[in-house]
Amino acid sequence: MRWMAGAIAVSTTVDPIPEGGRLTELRVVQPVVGGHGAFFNGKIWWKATLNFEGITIPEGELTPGGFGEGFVDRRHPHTYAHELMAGTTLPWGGGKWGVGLAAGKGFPSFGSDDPMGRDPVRFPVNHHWAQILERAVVTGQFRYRLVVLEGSLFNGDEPESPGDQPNLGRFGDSWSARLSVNPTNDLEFQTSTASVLAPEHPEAEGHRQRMFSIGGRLERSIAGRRSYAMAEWTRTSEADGAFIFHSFLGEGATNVGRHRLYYRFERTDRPEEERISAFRTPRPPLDDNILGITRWTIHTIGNRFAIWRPGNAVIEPFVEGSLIQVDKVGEGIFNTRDYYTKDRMWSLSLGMRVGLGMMGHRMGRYGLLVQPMGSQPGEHLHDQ
Amino acid sequence: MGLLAIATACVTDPPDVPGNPDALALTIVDGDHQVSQIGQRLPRRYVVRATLNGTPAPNREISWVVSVGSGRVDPSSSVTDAEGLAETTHTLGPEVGSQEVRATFAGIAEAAQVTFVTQVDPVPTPPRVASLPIPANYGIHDTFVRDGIAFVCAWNSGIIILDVGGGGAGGAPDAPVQLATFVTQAAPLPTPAAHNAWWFHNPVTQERRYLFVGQEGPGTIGANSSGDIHVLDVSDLANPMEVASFHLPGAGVHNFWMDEARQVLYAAYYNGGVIALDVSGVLAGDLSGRLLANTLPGGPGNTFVWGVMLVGGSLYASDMISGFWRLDRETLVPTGGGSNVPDRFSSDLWSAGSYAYTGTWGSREGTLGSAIKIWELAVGGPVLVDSVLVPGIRTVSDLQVSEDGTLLVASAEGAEGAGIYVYRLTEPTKPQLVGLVLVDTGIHTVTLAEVGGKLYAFGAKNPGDPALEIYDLSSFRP
Repeated sequence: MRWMAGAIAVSTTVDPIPEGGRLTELRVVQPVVGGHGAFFNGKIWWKATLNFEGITIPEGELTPGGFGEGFVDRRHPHTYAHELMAGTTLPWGGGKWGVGLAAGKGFPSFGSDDPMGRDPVRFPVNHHWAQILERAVVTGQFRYRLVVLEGSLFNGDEPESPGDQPNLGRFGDSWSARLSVNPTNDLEFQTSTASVLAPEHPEAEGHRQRMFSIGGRLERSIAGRRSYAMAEWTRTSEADGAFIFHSFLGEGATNVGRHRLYYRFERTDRPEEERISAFRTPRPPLDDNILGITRWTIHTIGNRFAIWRPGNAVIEPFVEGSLIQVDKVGEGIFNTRDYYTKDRMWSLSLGMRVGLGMMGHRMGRYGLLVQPMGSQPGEHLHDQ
Repeated sequence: MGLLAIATACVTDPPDVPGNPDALALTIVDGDHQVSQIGQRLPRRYVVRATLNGTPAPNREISWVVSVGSGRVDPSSSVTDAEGLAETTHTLGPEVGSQEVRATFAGIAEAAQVTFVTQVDPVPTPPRVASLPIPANYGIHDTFVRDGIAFVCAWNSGIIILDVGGGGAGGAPDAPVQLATFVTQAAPLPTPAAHNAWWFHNPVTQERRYLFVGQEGPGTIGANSSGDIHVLDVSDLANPMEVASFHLPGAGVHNFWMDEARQVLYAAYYNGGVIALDVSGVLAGDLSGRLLANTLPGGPGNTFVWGVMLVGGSLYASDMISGFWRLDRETLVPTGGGSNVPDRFSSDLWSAGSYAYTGTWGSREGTLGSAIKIWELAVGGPVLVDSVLVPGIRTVSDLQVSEDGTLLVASAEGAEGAGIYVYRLTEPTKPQLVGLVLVDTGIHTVTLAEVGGKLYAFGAKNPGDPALEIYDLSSFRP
């Protein structure tokens, strides 16, 4: 059994914010407590993550380009019960084969790791295109050698508040599937697809999103430096193709002494909706219209410095900056320069990460995905 | 409803500063002691006189700053004339109580200053007589009321038909009785999305047979749209049947109006402009062959029509992008207006006699849709004569003038001022706010109807907890 805890205190400045001007906010983000463990030689496992952003950032985190759950240009707070998953994995044939079953509240089998476990503090714009999160989910898994095939059933509705729970009456109205390949222990590829019904309408009175993702991830020591790189491409179609959104993201990080240097490039399409305030859109939407589509091209660079790393803990001040270009895609009345007063933005974050047991934690991966091929039950139950 | 008057004029003594600031003084000439309601532009301008050593001081810049409240001054700075006078107007914010504006010499921090204080009284709230929950699918979009029957357009729940005093089922505005529900066809779109309706009373056949229902499908505002007109046979209000539909390729329907005498349905079609549809006789199946005329008032790429209304033999159209138009009612060719609301996106319209009112929507180049435009319907087309600012909102989503022409009622969304606004039209170009209901989630549409000799407003309350809210406005009529 292992426990983890962490939080990030961060001061973020963004210029410009919606409707013009500059804003600086000091917040505590990603305050989490969690743990995972296993029984019966790893055949039964559990994983839990509690997230307290409903207390620390009820109005969301300043994130230019971010959107989802009624927030825009802010990242929504996660739910208190971020993950409560349990399951079973049954490998055989020396680990060449395996089946698994996972259930609870967490991430359906789709896309890439949740950004919470990745190097940049800033969540990408494509968070709701590249992950599906905080659902009541059942996932079945099958492994043969290097390949893991997963399928999930879950409720389509997104949380409406940090204290909200999945609408169990809608369980099964949405599904996803993911194929993961690990040619080596440090290299993996995935392709996944999902059909999510009306995520923005608690009563399922919206349209279906058809989602596709493909990506790869590498984590290895290069010239003695722990390094990481990932890239992904997503396509989301909504309302039978009335709206289509694309995203490409690539990021990488490497250790240089006590420094962790990282970079992310992202180009993501975002729907522009009628706003009820500078940072909020109505939920549920009052009709099926958007005002246009914007394309966010973002370069993010950052540096974390481990000033103290006692045991399994880390204390890391960091600096992270982003340069952002916003362009209008296609038609519609939304005009980026009119709304933001500029089509180029910047953000700068200074802060401190503290964590215990958070090293290498990958959010949203369960069962056979956590247990590499060839391992025995009970081995490698922690994230790499 | 007593109106309190608080008179306060604050003058600070000039500090002991060498040079000009010592001898400069400001005094209030006019505009103090006013009393009003939220959102109103004060009828009397604030006027100050600047003096230097007791002599009028021309060419002095005066800064006007709202010091209490969130209203606006216009202009925010002005230059004194030969008599040392400078002035500004004050449009009140949404705060009840005291609102203040301070006048100072620009750039001279320690010179004299004066403060105008206005008492803003609460605006009376119309009594709510009923609140009918509507299924959250997503909720209620619009209501058409006629002869004591209310047709609630409840999006994916379809049409809900209520007796509110005319259906023979014992219903009343304070106790609606449901007669029927009907979910209109969705295909080829994914959802029914029942948006608006019109119950056709045909003076030629004496029939009240058809209900026209608009479907609002997915679209990109300003560019494209989708959704058809669905026709229900409501000969038996308890058992409606869908009998016909109309599809305009490449566009989706929004609001309707009818020339019932000529049996013509006019429909706003967003990027498809305006259509005229022959709805005479028996309606069945595909009505595409009954299209009489179609126009894009602002031209291709500059047309996104929200609503239409026939008044005095002329058809008026409110286009989100290209403004307020007058069209020929037969050919639909524009005959006046247009390109006359460049500062904001337009929303709904209502014409009454020689005047018309249009709402505004969202954010256009940073300017919110927080205004009601007032038009004179002149020979050459609509002429803008004034605007009413509605503080604390982002959109005027709907508006209507009562049949007797005495009240203008508007629904508003976004921010702390969302709700229903009731204006008296004693002077049609200067609506006077007399009633206000604040609803935090906003009211999407408001429909006025006379039932049993009383005037009611049927409001569509937005989610969460969508509902048909019915208010009695009778006491607000003069």
